[in-house]
Amino acid sequence: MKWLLSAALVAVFTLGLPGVAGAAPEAAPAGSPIPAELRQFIADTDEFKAGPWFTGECADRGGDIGAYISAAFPEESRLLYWTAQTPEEKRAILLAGSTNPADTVRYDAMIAANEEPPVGLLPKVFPAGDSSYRLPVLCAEDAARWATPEWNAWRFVWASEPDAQSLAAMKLRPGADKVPDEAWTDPGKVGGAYDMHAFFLNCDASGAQFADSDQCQQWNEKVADLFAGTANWLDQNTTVGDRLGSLIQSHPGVKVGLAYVKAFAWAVETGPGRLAAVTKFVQDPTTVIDDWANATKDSSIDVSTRVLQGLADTGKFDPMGPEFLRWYAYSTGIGVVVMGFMFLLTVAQAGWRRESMSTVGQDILMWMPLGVLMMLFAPVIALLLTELTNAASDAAAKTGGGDVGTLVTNLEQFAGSLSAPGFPGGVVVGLLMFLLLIVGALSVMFGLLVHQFSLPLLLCAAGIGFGMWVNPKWRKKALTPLYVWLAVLFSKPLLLLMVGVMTGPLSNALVDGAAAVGVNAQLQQLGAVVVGFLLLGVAPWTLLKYAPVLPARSDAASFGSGGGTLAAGVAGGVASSQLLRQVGSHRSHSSSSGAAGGGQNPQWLQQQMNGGAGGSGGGVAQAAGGGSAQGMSQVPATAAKSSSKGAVKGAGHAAAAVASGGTSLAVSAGAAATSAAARLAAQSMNHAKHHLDAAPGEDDR
Amino acid sequence: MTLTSADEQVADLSRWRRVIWILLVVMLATGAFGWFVLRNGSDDPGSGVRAAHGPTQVVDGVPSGYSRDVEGAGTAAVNMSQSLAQAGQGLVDVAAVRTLVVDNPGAELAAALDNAEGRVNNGNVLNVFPTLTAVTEFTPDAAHVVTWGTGVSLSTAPIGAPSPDDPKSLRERSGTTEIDLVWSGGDWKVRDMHTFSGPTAEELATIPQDSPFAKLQPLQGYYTFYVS
Repeated sequence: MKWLLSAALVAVFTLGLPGVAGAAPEAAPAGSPIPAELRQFIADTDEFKAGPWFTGECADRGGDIGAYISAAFPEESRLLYWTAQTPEEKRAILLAGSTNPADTVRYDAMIAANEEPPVGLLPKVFPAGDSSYRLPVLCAEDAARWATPEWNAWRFVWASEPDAQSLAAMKLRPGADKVPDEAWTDPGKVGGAYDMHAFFLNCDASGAQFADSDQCQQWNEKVADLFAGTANWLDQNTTVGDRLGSLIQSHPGVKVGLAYVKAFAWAVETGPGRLAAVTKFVQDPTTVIDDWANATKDSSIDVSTRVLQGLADTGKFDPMGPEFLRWYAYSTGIGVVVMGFMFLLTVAQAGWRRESMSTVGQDILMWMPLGVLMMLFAPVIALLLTELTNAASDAAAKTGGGDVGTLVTNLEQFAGSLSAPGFPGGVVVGLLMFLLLIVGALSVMFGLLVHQFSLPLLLCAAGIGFGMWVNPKWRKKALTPLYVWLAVLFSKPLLLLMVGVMTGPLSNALVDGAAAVGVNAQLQQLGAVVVGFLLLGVAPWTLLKYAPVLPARSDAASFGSGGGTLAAGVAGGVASSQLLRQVGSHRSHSSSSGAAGGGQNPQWLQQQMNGGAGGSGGGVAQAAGGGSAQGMSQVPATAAKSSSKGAVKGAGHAAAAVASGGTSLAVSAGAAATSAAARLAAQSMNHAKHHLDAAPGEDDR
Repeated sequence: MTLTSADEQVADLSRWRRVIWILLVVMLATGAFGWFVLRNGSDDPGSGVRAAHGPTQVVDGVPSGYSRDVEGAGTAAVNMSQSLAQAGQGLVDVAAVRTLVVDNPGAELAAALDNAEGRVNNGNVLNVFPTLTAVTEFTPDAAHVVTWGTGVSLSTAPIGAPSPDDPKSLRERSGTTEIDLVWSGGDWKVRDMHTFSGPTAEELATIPQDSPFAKLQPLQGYYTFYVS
């Protein structure tokens, strides 16, 4: 039954999305209206990726957003026009207060023909081509340390306000006294050009090394110069300033400097009329349900896009951090006490059951020292694995980043355009779908929180569990937190990879589906989004079933069975099959192996489990081989950490090389990694379940 | 009795020989003394430095070689902070700075070193002045040092598009750095470093009793020299 459900879910997801996308015509959008010379400023275009901002000293640091902004300033008015979301917005830009009906007709014809408007009709902007306001070099990876990482074209969003020391220095810049006070701390309230150019950094946010923070503050001071120039310019161009302000208010994306970090992403593959402005689901609400529908629509769009954008900023666990080591030391202290009791219990049980000396000797002479060694070396081994998964997560995030950014944009636009009259089922179905979207998005967010907090807790539990290794029955239970820890650890790169894999088809469904024929198209697209979120969100939750606080099978049974492996199998199957579909491959091995993780082939899985356990033990024995007991807590840890960092760095570089080496190679590697990660997660959770099943009181020896 | 001209010539020759010998001995002694002073007990390729608590040498622009006492630890910590600032400007090779760091540095220090890798000097001048330095914990094998100071930077040109006509600007930032040192391989090595922004000098004008700064016992006798 479980495998049937697993296969069904895989089938629904792998076949459902093409079904959604397939409902739409295959043809690409008819000719992008963006002029060729502006395409370099638009995220995800080939011209943008080949831009000069991705060369030079920031080539390996995420690109030079300072160069990008400085290059875009002279084209800002054209970018505002060409990225306007509707023909009405374009017309409003061109009319600029004109009430002459003849102008309207002329401008509509110009917009319909995708003609470049004369310079005089476009809004005046500042600093335009004034080179004295060019911004210094700012590598995106540096900026992310001083701001907030987010999944968009430049992988961060600006700080809401500058740090105190920067702010004090900024206010001392020439002409800064003319800038409204609120522009420094809440530019959104002031609006207009201040809001659009609020490229603030928080120089306190990172380690604040002097060389680091000095560069950060220099940037902020250049932004202050920009603000001072803006204040002066607005003084002389009041009318123009008002016009620009109203224009910017109609572009949610350009607020607080978002337009530049998003690299005007909403313009990609869109044309006039393809994107609709955010509208109410029910235009004229008359009942409470109508109000709820409108409210849940806004909430669902906001929470789902924010969760997706926040995926790049998930916490990372440092098993060698002093705070964790302090708690780990307490847990191993308890583990030593537990080990004493377990030793006595083992000896007593051996006497009661008249077990052979070789069995008792194996427990006491092999497993007990191994437990002690694991207590000592677990943080180092955990560090190795954590850095490995962090490197894999970073590579997965970098590989899928652009797609996720596009998905966020498409999701905002697609969901924003939905309204009750054209939605199958009307208000009630719409309300239900938006609620499900909120649930799915929140489950993804809480899943990430589970990931963040469960790692240290589980490892501390494992520290106590090592003391149980001396006893054959309790040993199996003590392995549970270890396996769950492994599953949680590997779930993060798997999750990020899944996001990357899923966003391609979802994005295609959202963009292509906008022109789909048929009344069910919108419902199908929204359904695909909801299912995607739920699938991403539910997988980590299933791990709770295997929490090590559960004492026995009888307790675990109340949670149902097989869900974790089911989810892992589904995850692996979905990710692998989507990847393989993307490259048009017909290889089915990865998909089937992912499905097998869900329980299709217990015999095969059992063999894998045995092999995995052997490998783990070997690794432990090998790690324990170097050093005396006296120095084990320090010297081997040092050596192991050093070597592990090198190895992981190499792995990270290799992963990055794979990611940048070509689409097919990256996707193939991704498919293999996804399949392997899914299998590992499935095996780990199966191990956990297997050992739970063999808890004390249920003798399986 | 008068000397013959031949005797006088022999006597002159003998005097000259004595003078030459004396000069040779003086030259050798001076040379040996100079060699002894310059060598200063070190076979390393760095240029020699004499200071009470170190450094004893400068290798690739990074000073090292400190005494195993409180002042030596404080000096090592200060110079490490300054070396990292130089590396962050692309003026010092990060590999040279890493020789003063333990093999497995703390996360923040490791990140700071990684961030400093591959930086290009952009014409800015940034000098770090560790105005207050206090060794808060000390054993012969480990020390914890707290420094408070300012980084003063002079931009000679906006980065990226330098022009002689661009206006110059001076920036100042205050910061506090905590540095953990261990004695390893005959010198102080940095194990970890935590840097915080502030407090500013204005904020320290009146130090509350419960502030960590109220308990600091800073070192005295601070001098500065430039390494380039």
